[in-house]
Amino acid sequence: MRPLIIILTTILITAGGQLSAQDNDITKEHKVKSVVGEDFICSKIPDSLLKEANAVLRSSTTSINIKSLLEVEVTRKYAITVLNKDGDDYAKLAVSYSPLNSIISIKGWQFDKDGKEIARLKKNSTIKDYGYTSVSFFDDLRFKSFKFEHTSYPYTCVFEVVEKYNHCFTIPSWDPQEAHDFSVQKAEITVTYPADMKLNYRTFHTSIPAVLKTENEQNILTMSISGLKTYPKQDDFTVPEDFNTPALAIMADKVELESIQGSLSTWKDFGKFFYELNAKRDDLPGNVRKTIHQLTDTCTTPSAKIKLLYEYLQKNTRYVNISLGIGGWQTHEATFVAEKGYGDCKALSNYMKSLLKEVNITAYQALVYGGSRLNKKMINDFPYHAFNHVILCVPNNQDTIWLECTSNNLPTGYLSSFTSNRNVLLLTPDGGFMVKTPAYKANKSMLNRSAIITINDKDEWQGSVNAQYSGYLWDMEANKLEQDKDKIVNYMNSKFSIPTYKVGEYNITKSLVNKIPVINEQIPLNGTGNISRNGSRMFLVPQVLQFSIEKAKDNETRTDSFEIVHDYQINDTTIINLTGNYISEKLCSEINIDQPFGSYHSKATFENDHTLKIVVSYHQIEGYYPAKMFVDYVKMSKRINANAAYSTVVLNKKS
Amino acid sequence: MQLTGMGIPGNLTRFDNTWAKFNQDIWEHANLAYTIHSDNKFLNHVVDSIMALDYSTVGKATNIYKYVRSLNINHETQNDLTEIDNFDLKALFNRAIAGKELNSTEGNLLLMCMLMKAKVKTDPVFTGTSNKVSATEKFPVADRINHLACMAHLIDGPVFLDASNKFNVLGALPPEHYNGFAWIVNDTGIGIVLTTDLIKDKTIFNVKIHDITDSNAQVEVVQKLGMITSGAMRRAWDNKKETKEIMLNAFKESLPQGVTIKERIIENEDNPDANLVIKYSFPMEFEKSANSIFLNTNIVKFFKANPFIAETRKNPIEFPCQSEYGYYMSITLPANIEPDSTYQPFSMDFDNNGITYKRNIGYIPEQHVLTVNSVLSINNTVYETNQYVSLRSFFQKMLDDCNQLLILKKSNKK
Repeated sequence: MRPLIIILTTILITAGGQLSAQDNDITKEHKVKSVVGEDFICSKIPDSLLKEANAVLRSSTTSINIKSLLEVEVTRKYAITVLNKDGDDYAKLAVSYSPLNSIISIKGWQFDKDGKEIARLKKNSTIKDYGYTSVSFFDDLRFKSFKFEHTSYPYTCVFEVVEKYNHCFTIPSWDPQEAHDFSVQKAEITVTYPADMKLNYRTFHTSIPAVLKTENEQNILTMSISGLKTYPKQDDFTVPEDFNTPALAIMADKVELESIQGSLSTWKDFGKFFYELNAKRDDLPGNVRKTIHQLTDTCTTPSAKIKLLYEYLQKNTRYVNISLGIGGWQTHEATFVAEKGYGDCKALSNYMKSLLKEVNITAYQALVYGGSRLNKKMINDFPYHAFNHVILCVPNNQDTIWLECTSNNLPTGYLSSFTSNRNVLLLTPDGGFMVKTPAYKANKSMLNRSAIITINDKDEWQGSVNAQYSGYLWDMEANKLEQDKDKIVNYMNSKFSIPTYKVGEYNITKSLVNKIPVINEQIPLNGTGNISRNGSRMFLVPQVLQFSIEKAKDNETRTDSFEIVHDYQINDTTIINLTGNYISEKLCSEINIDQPFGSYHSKATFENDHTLKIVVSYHQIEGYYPAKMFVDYVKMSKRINANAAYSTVVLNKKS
Repeated sequence: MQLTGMGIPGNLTRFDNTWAKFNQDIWEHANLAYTIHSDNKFLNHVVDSIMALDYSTVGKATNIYKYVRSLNINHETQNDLTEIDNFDLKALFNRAIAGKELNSTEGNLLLMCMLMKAKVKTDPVFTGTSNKVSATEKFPVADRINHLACMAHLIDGPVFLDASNKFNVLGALPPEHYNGFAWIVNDTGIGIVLTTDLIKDKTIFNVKIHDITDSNAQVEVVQKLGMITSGAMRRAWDNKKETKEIMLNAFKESLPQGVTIKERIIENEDNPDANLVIKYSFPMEFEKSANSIFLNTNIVKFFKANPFIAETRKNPIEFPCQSEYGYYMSITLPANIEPDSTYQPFSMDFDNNGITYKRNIGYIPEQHVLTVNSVLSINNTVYETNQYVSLRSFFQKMLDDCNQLLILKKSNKK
């Protein structure tokens, strides 16, 4: 019996450490303590890499072997030392796979602080396998994930992952420094591809070049980097970039997907490939064609037709993200959307394009990076995957109309902060063209409010607020007004600064002024609070209207530029009529701030012995500003967010 | 009849449908009674050496508690409370003194055993924290009980002890444990109700304003937090390092706008047995007119805004503990500045002194000192839903009173 046990035990020991269909070279792997010939004793990490770090990439080797347009093998071997519990997530392995890429093998080891192996990934280790469903409804992207248990810090995890892609449409980019609290000791990448193939590549945030050489009919592109220290955590003002740390982005010059071949060498070619990938998918069912003509045949202008058809789209479809295989890049047929009533951004914009085509209006899909902050920008001379969304462009003489086809409530021709004011790639039969979407500056993005209030002899407030929102300021208010009636009432009962108040029957109207959406609100209200008395004196906090701007932390050591994202203007007027006659002893201080990034003005007056008037205006100016100005922005934001314009007023009642 | 299934070793499931049966299972079947009295020479030796510091019951309990609290206990982990059968005290203690990590259940079990060895009668207490539905006295429901603490019987009465976090306060459980029904396990077992009015917290703000000129003054604030709040803040800061700066910045934002803190000192940050004290000093500009200076009566407010925002409420209101907030400000005025008028004292109470607020502003002309004293006391911690509107109004009136300004006039005196 005993010899059998020994044999079995030996098999179990030597079979551990990898999750692979192949068990070759097992013994050799077990003797390897490191993946790049170095040990993982934690005390050997240079002090400069430990400062403010929660984890350190000890070493990393990435090999991308492009065998052909339809076969790419990626091998990543890396070792991460976790310094404390805030670094645990960096050592969690998570690898995605789909019909377009598969996982060939995963191996893993864990070492203690002295570099001694304490655990390894075994065949019976629990590897989680799950789909990612947070925003997608239909998605065939899945993940395998694994995390070593640990009892003390620091510890080191080493993983080796081999993946295979059946295309080179997207080649993984290389940016070894994952986050601000993650330092890098050493990392390198090698990309191997046939000598007759062309790759386009670009380095970011480093002066270290990628080196290309040719050997044995193979091109070999290499780049290595070392000693990347941690950096200050970015905030909401950090200028977003495609990569914030040293990186290498790689794009194949020629690609093939679903037997469609193309080139990505210029933006024109990039657009042409996408156009062809999504072309000829615009047939409409007969009943839809009939409906369209019924709706639009009596229209006299293209604008009128576009509006009707866009509203038809909004009423009859909804957004669902569908990313199945190549579905991530190729649109569903227009018939699919017509039948199902849903689609993702590509499918909905393709469907809208088809509707317009039926009435002889030409439209083009446009690739865009959607988001209130532009985290990816098109680079003029480096075509690159800088998009996550598709919208529709309808040229209309001088009056181009842009359509956000995933929205059920945006007005025709208005894009909102999600896709406005940025470069997009128009997809036309002649190829791709870079154009810019409209911007909604302060003269189009405004909030004008007036609050007219009477305070009676019982110190009760009664009055009304009129407000008009347009442009970017419309965006936020419109979202709030799309909720259930109960939630809207709750919102109305909390948006003003009177401590205890209730709104009456309010009136909301929506309109479009020069293609800019406008909301008008008339809100009656009554309430109490913010008033106290001592003898004949009245202490009044006169705030009814409130707004705040992006909060900024004190950062006197800021070295990077900062961004103000949106341009807009707020004008507030508050008039409070008192019962009885008063002398003003103290009014709110006058504030005048003028800076390149914005201006804030407020002035209070007391008129006719009983009327307090406060006028506040704020103009925010979008742009990029140097770090040295940030201190002033912080000061301004603090004054605004502290409601400095509405400080306590002291009035003395006349006898 | 609620059936509550609990796992026990051997994959058997037992059903405890009364607290009496639950007690019997833990005390007898799980051998807890036996285990806590089991002999361990080294443990006895350690207990003896701790007892030698102070042989009084309170002294023994205090020193043993502090000893266990200083061990390597991870308060975020615990055993399945129904699986404390036959735990090995010797192995547990050996792990503890070797510096290995204990979970919260193990920490408090060790505390209980050591107190028993020191002849301080101690019972295990099963509680449910406020993130769970309160346990019911009718029958035990396993998922409503998630923590094990201790109750030591001292001369002056029972005292609750929880050593599972190095920042827990001696003599009280963390506030989240006062969540209603709890069960003390011993030979008979007994149910108790832990309510928030069993613990009291007292926070004091002392503010001194001096060196007043025409436009500014120097301000010193000493914030002495109650022991309950001190413990909660230390635990929060220890859990996530960013929390400390976030909380301290939140305090900064409650100061008059435009203030730049010149100096900040935190005392007793690592001493769980002392109040956390935060001291600030800063110059402050104040608003003025030609002949007057306007100063906030409350430089630091108890609440920055009314904590009751919603217009209506569906659930009763419960404060985390009895609380007293005291604000004591003294302003040393220069010879040429005097208060413009006198201020009448102001007081109000809610629900028959369930909550009271008092404010006095006084002037001592001989010393040229103006004082502002405010006290908010929350004596009853639970209020019905139909009291919400009045409660909200009470807090608003208090805040409005705190928003008053002191008006100081400049005279020709030198």
